[in-house]
Amino acid sequence: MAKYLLKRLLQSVVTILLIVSVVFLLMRLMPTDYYFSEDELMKLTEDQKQSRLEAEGLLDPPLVQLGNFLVRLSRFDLGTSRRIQTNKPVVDVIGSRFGVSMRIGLTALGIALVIGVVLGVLQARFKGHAIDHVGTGYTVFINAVPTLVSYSLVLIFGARVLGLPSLYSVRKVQQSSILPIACLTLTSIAGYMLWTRRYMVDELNKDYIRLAKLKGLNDRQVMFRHVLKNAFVPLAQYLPYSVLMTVGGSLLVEKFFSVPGMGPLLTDAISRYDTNVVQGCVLLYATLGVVGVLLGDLLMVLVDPRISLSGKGEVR
Amino acid sequence: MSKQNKIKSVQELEQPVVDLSIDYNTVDQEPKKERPRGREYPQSRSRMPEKQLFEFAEYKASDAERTGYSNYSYWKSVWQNFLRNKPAVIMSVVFILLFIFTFVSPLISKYTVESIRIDYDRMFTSPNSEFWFGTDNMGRDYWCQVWFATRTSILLAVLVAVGEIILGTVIGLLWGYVRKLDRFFTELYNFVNNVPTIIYMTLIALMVGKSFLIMALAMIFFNWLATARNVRNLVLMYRDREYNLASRCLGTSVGSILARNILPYLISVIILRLALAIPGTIAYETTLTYLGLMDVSRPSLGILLRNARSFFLDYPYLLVFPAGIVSIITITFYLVGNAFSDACDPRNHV
Amino acid sequence: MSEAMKQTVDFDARARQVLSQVPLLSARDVEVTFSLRGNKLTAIRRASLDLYEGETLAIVGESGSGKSVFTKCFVGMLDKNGSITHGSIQYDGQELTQLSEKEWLKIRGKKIAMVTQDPMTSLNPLKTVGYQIQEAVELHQGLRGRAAKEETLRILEAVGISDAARRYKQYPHEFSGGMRQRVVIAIAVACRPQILICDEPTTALDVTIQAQILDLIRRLQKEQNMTIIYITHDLGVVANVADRVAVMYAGQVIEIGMANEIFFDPWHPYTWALLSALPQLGVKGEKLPAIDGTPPNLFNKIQGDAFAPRNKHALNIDFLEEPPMYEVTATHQVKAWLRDPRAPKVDQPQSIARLAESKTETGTDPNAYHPHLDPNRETLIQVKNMQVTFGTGRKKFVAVDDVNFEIYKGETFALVGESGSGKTTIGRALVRINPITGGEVYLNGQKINGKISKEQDLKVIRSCQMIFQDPMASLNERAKVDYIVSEGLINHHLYKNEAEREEKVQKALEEVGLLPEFSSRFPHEFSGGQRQRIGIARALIMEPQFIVADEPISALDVSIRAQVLNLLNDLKKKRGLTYMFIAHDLSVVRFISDRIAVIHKGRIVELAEAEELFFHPLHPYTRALLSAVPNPNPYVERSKQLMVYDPDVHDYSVDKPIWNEILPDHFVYGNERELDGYRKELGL
Repeated sequence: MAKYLLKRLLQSVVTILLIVSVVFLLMRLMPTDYYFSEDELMKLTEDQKQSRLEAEGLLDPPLVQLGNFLVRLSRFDLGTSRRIQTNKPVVDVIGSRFGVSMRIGLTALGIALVIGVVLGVLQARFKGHAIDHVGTGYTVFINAVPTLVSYSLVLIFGARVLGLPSLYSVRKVQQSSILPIACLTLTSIAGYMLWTRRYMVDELNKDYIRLAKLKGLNDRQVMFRHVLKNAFVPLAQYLPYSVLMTVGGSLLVEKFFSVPGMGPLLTDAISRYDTNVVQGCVLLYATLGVVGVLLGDLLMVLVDPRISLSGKGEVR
Repeated sequence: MSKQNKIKSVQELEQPVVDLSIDYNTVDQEPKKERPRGREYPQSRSRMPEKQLFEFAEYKASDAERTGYSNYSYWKSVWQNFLRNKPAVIMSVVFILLFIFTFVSPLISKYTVESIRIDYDRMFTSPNSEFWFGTDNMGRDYWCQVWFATRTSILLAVLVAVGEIILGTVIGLLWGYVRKLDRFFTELYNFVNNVPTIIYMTLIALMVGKSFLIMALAMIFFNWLATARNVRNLVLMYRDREYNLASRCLGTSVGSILARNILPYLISVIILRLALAIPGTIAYETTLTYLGLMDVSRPSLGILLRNARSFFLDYPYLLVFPAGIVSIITITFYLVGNAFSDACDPRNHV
Repeated sequence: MSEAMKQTVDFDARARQVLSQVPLLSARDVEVTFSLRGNKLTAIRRASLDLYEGETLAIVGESGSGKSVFTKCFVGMLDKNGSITHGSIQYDGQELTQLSEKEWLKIRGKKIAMVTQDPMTSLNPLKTVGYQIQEAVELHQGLRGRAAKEETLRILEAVGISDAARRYKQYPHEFSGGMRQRVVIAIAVACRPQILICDEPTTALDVTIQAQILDLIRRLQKEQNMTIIYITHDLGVVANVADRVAVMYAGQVIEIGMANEIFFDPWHPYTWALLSALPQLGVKGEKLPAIDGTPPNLFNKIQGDAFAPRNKHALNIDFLEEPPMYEVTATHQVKAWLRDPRAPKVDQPQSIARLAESKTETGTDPNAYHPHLDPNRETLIQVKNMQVTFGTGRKKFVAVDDVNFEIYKGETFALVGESGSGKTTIGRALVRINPITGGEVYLNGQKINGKISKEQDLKVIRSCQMIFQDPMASLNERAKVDYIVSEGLINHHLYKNEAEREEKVQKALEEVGLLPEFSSRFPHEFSGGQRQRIGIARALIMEPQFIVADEPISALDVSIRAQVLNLLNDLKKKRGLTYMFIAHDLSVVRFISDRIAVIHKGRIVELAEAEELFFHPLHPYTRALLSAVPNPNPYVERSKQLMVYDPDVHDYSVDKPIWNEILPDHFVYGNERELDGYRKELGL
């Protein structure tokens, strides 16, 4: 057990480092001018720039720079932001944004998970009835139509009919968070509904359900004692990943409502070539992703007695 | 033990078992050879006198061979099942008309994308007889833009979808069948899949370029993974089936086994994924465009939606037209894909 | 048959019992229709059945005969698209066809319980075995908490699961197939039902386990005074369990009677055919009386007697009018025009008489040629110390270990063992689908494993072919028969032009008894037996010397098996083929093979000439296996003594076992002490 955990953890760390290194090297392909803020670029002379770069080791061969970067990383030193918030440590820049994203993401996730799973269960329970058809219509719409369109619809309804603010504002945090949260919730509900229903229906068609009915259990007992937990198992594996990714913030929602969260930070950082911030963001996302997968596998072990921790296929 | 014969109902004996009122002479007129022991045969028998009825019938092994014969055809059943799904069929027709219309519209509209120009005097004109879909924030005709954008988006979606499905299928087949490649592709898959692809897309857009072609290739490059994994899992399911063992036993090459024994079983899944990849790509394109990661020189539905964001609260028609069209396209493919995959499931066949 | 044997079961007394009772459950003219996307399938065509208290009624039929569907009506568990469209089912003063789901809850489980077919999928994988049994205990016996748990433990022990307290907490995946079936039975028994329906409960299990489960069911029936409906396609099982037997064909009960009446005095030509096709009643070297064709497609309207086109005794009227039920005795009815006074007199086939005389052992022709007895015998295949392992490192699993045998030209060499014994692995290793990890394989004296030259490789491919177990899985559904059959030719360009290839395909199809026009069709148009013959044609076209037949009939319906066995024997004679016949069913093996090797857990434990093995089995595993073989004579079957093999009887700690030829051509695996014992028994 411990051995397996250790192995998986090590694998995860290696994956994260690999991803970060690749991105780091990619960023070294850029012209060196981007290592300066816009102000500095105008003030400093060529010589001054050169000496600054040399002093910071930015003219070393890329692999040497990578080595230095990894050493600093081991001390959780990600450097400072150069352009987004000049000279502020990257950890702080990300930290403040991450808080905003997490608040919105977690709220939306909590609501969506509860409503989505409940609706999915109801759909499976009343398969073929009106509730199932309405639910299926909803999931088809959300899954098929581009999120941008659904967000626009939510925005029109929210802003026009309910009079909610159409953009995020730091002064009216709660009120202006409603629409972004609603967008995230409404779209992820569809996902949870779809999968819950599908897994429930899969389980309902299995032989052991027939035996449970033959025992004389009624539909409700079969549902609660046998189907629910079994349908949750395949869901369990993806759950941590999707939770962590939601927490990481939705690029599109945040951009759409101008929420100062993680999503826009990443695109801004890349488009303004703020290398240290880019690396910080990538590190964060890679960690969330890898940890999500790891937690999913561990959760499976907890809920499914058939899986032991002695190693299994890595592909999900 | 007594073995007396007792007829359950005496009436059954007294009633003529068959209608004997037919002219017996016709029996002999039928040439004997053309009397198969199939469905037609009983009619000729019905003209037999009772005595003959209780004589032994001639036995033919080849007739026995034909019992239980089914004329089921897989693809015919798939097609019939698909046609029964009315929403999918209707939506397909609507989509086809819509796609044709994207080519027809430039011929009938008053403006074309090439000829429109910025004219702030006419901005935000509501739809009227001159501007059928109104004008945008720079006073340009919206009608011709919408239809041009529709065509662009459909073409991009089809290009990317076909590309990713081909790449995904080929890699998935190898990944699943060739044991030595499993490790490599699995690691690659995990490596790419652990991080939201939007990060990679952003990096590519900014470091390589945002042109139509580059972004299409980038989408193909990151989207094949899901298809490949799906195909790979299916290949694993079929790889050790007995008919593949039989082929190996006959010395069939890996290529032939993949092409003739495995690929045909994956066609339903491949078409499903293709059908779903099209709405997926359109949605992805709108997202990328909205995030500013796509070239904006050529109108696409994503670009129209993005431009509409700032104004549609006041001028809803800017949203309604592109959003309506994009919804029709994506929902069509989604429904068609699912209808097709349902139709492919042999359990739904008769 | 000895009088002592007849004492084992008194059918006459049971018949009197039946006649004196009012039926417990009575089904009349039941018709069940399924609607499948607009098409109608009539699965049960007005079938009637009475069930009497305390009896065991077996329902026999092939797949598609409707035996399962019929009994599902008794528990209200028809699939959603099926419904009872005619008839009535009376039970306990209630009309079962009219019950609502709520009313069913008072009957299902409580009064009528069911044991389902596949133990591997019938249990919830995420709940402990104890929980799943206790659930039924709490529901039907009204016990709670500790009392319920104690009752559960008691039932676990009652169904033969030792160490119940520990097993209670385990999950289904920690149980073997046989053990899981015991758990499924425990669940059914925990309901304390009046009627227990067993739907092929042993089909997925090995013969030795099957015998144990049958014993268990019989014991529980006595203890709890249950009435049992037993559904099966296996006549040996019927002989073992049934008081009365109902034979079903194409959705109808065509013959019903006491077990002795059905086995010794049947009157429906289908029952005759079923019994005659049993290899136990055949004579080695002669053709088995096979039933041609396949059961009818129930989507089509059936006119007259459904069996008529396959019936060699069919009357003209059979094609026109459905026969009524004729009474043979008070307890024996048959639905066949042959019983009509106007019908010509026909005698029952000879094999039925053989069965009544209890000659239920395959006969032998003393003049038959046995290649291994030929002084000039040629060795075709030689296997030396074969070992096959799967996986690596800690997950390494030895499937076959230190296996030695020779196969002589022209013989049928059988390899018999239970599932997981490694028999299929050996077969696949011989045709080189599974690579072997140790030892050597020789074909005509030339080594064929490991690295060999390309021409040699091609030669081996052509010489050694395989026939597979499951005709549904062994043909590529998406390719035409033409491609499937000529695949080997195409791979190695064994034809000059297209015309020659087509000709070869047609010839191969004709050789296996199929029409040449079938080549342009797809496999799904064919029935199991026809598909199996396509598989044989595919192997034949390579003109092999040696064919590995991996359980070629075990997935086929009873009425089809004889067809394939006859075909294999014909081809052997005509082409001088050599077979390795892999099977789990000893009665089939006895009929078809010259020599038999018994394999247990990857090792061959005994190898001898077929009759020698049956008369002088030495190894305790062989004896256990032989003792479990089902016999179609109810008296013999019920008086058989079951032996259970316990591998712990061997003490190999000091005295190492060896592979020893104890008599000429009789090999056994054992250590010196055991071999001494065997020699004494043989009088050496």
